[in-house]
Amino acid sequence: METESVTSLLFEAGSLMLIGMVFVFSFLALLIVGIHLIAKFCEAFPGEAAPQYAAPRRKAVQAGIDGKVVAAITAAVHTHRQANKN
Amino acid sequence: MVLWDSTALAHFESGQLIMMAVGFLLLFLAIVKKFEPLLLIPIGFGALLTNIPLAGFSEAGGLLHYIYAIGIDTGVFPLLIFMGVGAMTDFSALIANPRMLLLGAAAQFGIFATLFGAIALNMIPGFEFTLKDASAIAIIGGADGPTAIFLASRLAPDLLGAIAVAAYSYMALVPIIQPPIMKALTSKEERTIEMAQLRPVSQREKIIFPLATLFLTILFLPSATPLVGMFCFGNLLKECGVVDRLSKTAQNELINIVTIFLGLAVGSKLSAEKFLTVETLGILGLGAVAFAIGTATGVLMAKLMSRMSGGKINPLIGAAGVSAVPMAARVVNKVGLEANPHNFLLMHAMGPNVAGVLGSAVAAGILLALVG
Repeated sequence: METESVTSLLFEAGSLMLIGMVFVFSFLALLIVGIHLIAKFCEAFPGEAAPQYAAPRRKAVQAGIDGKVVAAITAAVHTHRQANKN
Repeated sequence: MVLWDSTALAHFESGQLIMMAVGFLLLFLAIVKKFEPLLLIPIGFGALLTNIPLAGFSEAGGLLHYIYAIGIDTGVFPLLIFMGVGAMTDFSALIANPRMLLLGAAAQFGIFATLFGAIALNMIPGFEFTLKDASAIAIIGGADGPTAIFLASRLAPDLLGAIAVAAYSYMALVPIIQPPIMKALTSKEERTIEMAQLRPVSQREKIIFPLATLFLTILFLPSATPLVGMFCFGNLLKECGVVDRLSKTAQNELINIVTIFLGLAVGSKLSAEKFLTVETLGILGLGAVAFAIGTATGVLMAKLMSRMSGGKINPLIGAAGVSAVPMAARVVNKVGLEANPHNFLLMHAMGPNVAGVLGSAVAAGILLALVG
């Protein structure tokens, strides 16, 4: 290949190297910022999924039946299961 | 005489015999040495098939010709593989310590330096790499098989066989290539540095991450969206937790099926007239250089970050910035354990490791946008 064209290709390759590295770094740096934002967001709005399961159950219990009755039934069920285990 | 003419014996050319030997060598490396067997076996066997005289596997009408036309010419196979890789990737190490992305970026210097090197090789008579060829070769430094095949199929289909073989061979050789470089660039004390345990990452973060990554890619580098998009899609399948069936298919059945076809199709490009050239030697040489430079810049960047953080980062993990998941991370762990038997760097190295996958996909996108 002619020296001239190699030189111009080398120049192009050099500028590609510079642009490429700058872009890769800035893109991933942006992604770092993005991840921090996601983390902040998730801290500010912690998952509602988990409490959702718990909340209705408690409400159902509180609404109808006295807590002591629930405790007694729970204890009874527990004893029954323990007894039937063996 | 007609019978003799219909046997392969009458038609073997020396080039075909040599390429069949290369195919056998790949099979040997895969079966005996356990070098990337999942890919080298299909590739090696494809090389055997394509060099059979008279059978015409890779000519119009031949099986491998169609597999290549359907899967690699179109870029579909590497992208499907990338989706599967996404479904197998756990980003939590990276989300917990996002600075590791810088290591994944630094290691991509191997790609761009090799691009420069490939063009410089043109000074030697016999080499005539265009900018497209050079870009496709340089991506070997990304240490990412599907990315390399995707880019090569777009920019330099004629070199694809050599590039794919070089990429997978060097990925298999990561445990041999990397440790000397890592040790040369770090001191014993630096290698013994233990790193703080990573914070737990919530599922919600893991779900938002691929979407955010895709969003940024759409905004700034649409040419990388085929790769990053499929990768993020696969990852979302895994993390969202509601499509286990799809996630399992993407990371098992689908990727296995595609790997078989991809390997065979790449093997079909190992024909004598395309592979037995001085350019192949150049590609193999440049590939090794790309790996070495990527490893070195990764480690150097990690060293810099270690200094700036007051010695909280073990510079070894920078070497994992050249993707090669999870091999490079395992190598880091091993070298770390040699220096300090109580130091488990695997999880810390997974951060730069998956960052390297993103980094090389971004680099491929840049090359596609500027050169393609």
